[in-house]
Amino acid sequence: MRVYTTIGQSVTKVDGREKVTGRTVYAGDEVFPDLLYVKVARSDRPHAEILEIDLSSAKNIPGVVGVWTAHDLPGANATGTRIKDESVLCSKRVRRVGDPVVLIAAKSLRAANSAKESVSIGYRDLPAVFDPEEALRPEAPRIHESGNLLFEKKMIKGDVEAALSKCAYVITNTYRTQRIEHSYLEPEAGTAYMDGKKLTVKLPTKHAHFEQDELAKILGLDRKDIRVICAPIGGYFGDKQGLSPGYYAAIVTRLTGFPAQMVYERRESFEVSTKRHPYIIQMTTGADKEGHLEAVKVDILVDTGAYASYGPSIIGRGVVHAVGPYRVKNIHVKGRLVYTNNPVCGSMRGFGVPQVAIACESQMDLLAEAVGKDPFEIRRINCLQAGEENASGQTLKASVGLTECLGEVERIQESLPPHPREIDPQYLTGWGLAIIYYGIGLTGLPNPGVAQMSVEPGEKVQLCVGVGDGGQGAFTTLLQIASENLGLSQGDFNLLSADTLTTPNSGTSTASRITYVVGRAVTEACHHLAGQVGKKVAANWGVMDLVFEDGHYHCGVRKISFREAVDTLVNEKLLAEGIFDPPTTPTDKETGLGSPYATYAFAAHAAQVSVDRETGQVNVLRIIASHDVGKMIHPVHVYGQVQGGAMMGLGYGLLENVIVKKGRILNPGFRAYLIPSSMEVPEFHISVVECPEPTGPYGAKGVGEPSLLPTAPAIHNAVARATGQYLFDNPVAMEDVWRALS
Amino acid sequence: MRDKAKLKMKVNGKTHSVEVEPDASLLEVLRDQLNLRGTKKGCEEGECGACTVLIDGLPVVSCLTPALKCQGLSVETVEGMEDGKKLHPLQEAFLETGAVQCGYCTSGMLMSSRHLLEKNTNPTAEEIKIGLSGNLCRCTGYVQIIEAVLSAVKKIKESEK
Repeated sequence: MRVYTTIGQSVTKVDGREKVTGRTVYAGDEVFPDLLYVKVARSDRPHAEILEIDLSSAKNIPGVVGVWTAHDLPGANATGTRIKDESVLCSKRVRRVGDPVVLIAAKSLRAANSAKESVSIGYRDLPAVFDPEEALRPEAPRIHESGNLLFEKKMIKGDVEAALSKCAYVITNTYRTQRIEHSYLEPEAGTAYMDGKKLTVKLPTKHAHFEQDELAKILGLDRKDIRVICAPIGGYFGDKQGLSPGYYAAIVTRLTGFPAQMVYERRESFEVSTKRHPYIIQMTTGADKEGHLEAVKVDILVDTGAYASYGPSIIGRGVVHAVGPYRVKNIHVKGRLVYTNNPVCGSMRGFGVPQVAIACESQMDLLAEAVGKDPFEIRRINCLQAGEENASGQTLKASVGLTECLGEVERIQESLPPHPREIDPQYLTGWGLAIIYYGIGLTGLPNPGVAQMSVEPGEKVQLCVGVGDGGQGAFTTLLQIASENLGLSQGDFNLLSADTLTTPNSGTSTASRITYVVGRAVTEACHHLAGQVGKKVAANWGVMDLVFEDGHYHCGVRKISFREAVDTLVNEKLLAEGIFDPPTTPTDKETGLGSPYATYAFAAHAAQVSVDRETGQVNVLRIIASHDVGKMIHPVHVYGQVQGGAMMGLGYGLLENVIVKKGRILNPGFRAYLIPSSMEVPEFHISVVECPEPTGPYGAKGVGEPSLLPTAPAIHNAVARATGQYLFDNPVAMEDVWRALS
Repeated sequence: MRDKAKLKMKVNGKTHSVEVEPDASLLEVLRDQLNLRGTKKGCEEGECGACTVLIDGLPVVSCLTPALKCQGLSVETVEGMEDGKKLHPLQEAFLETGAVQCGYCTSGMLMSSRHLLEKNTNPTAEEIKIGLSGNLCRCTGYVQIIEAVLSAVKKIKESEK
């Protein structure tokens, strides 16, 4: 086995010291003289025509510098990630509670808040629709001109109906999942200012270059006159891109010339930010008499809310993953994405897959019961192996560690002593199992990662990447990859990240792609840089053939390190660029088949739960998690992703639910929207499987999203084992469990 | 306009006299007037714990604490944890065990952990869970934070040997 110096070591987190000392400057911590505080007055109606806007009293509040409506905007009043269907400020019509209408800037936060309170907006309510099935009816109010069916995606293989008619077992159920909130601890924030003639915006974002393009249109400026700097990200989990406080601060700076800052209040963040899409999933699973899957039919109906956001991409990924990591010849999956007047849903960790994983894995357990096999066995005989074809018809050539993950979970589960609650008469207990796979990178789209490097004598090596660090440790990981390639250590580098002025566009921080895609781009850049320095060495030594290995150039007995070579043999600045675009094919428009991802991560989780016989309260006692990550670059960070993801999955399966009534969120804050606290932490057992991905940096894939996918399905199956009853709605609500028991 | 009120309090050992709005929260005064921005605003309703500081050694959510309640009292924030350039054992442990991901909950977590260790020099994992139950973290799943506190306990014991 190859021995590495930094890959596989839990080196110090490069931005950690700043964070533990409170010195990290998040976007809302920026201080400027003459700073203006920005607020937005928003719609309190789910669907209405704007009749009049009265700004007179707001304008008269001392300290208020400006109060603006759509007519005052300097550029385009249309924005959106996939479809430009959102207004920066609504002028004629609002389509949801929380739609922005009036922009306010004041010299103090208090004055800005008073002005927001005194804005008066007159509306005429329009008929609204809050249910995706109703939204598809011909008589439903149209939310956008294009109609309420925003997007439809299919995946078709074989003949599902014919195959189902021959199956020994056919199981059909309908599953419903809820909206959830990202709940990053840092509310969205942004600070804008003029730096000479350049309008500069600092905001936490998963894609600085996207924001620059979008802001150029909205501000009516040339791209080169705007600089977007990704501020330290206080958590994002798939969110933090697009219309947000940084945009409004930038508009105020554009209109006034003054620095401006906006930070969402927590309530505003809940009301305005996107949510994980609620799904209604009808799934039919057919198998032969031994339990081999023969056919799977899935119908998914998704409420995306009032605007598209990432919706079309999410349903695309959801459809591709709907069948799970199994070998199935006959497939029919249909996903429909529907506009309603509900809160907007968008990108969240798992990107359309956590929902289908619940349905898919409940079906597998039901099938196991019907066939009389145990949950491990039913999965083992059906799950994908290297060399086999997945649902979309892609042959998985290598790095398929699912059987190993299953084996690890089974081994650990068998080794554990009985939990004290297993013999406590107050509780029912049970173990549940779930497995998943997850495509790394964007679905069937080019998504190149780019890294640039430069080096000159006596200076640190500069590494420029266009991505931020969401806390997962992306910076540390990318520096480890660069260090290993060049035989250097973290301190030998100067890292520049996600800044449209100084770094390349490395694509978006989504789809668990940073380590795999951008990490591989870093490796490519290192190879080019080492090659250029090598030419200088070769010329100096008067040789043709050089070997670069373990950070040294070798030729016979002569040997010089990369650093020494740069300092003594290079007399100029050398630049290198690395690009990696994972090999994918777009999925077929009619059948949805193709090779949408270059590699997949695999995982298995088992959860042990206790159910209080009297109250129906479910507690997760133990989680066993096994993940095939290809290669662990930084074990502590991988474990951090697995634990953090599993806890988010626990919240999804048991606690969290954004309650919406007539388009209004009834629990917009942590008081009534419960995320897991330290009290919910179960006993964790983690096993990492390393099935190297040949195209990944040092064999690495991704882990950020796979970490949370199997947890909620495992909890569902555990509750079913404990109580003898399956619950088809997510989350597993205490009252539903109680009803099932009584 | 309301009259501002005079507030004299000790912050991280240093006495400050400031004029504050009568309804200003301790969080506002720390961040906006004393420029101590290591303490974070997460929810402004005392639910997330990101703004936790110690007042006379006791943890409070500074977003819900009226600044004027701190008249004559001693406040400690994350900025006061280092000893010169040397990190507090809790800070060291947080850094080493992966207890810090996005960092936004970290200051509050550190202050709650500090109070916990002052009250109980040898806590169990269960006692740490209870001690940190008022501080939300969305990144780590808390496991590495609990490990960090246990590791800090060892570090403190070793330094006292």
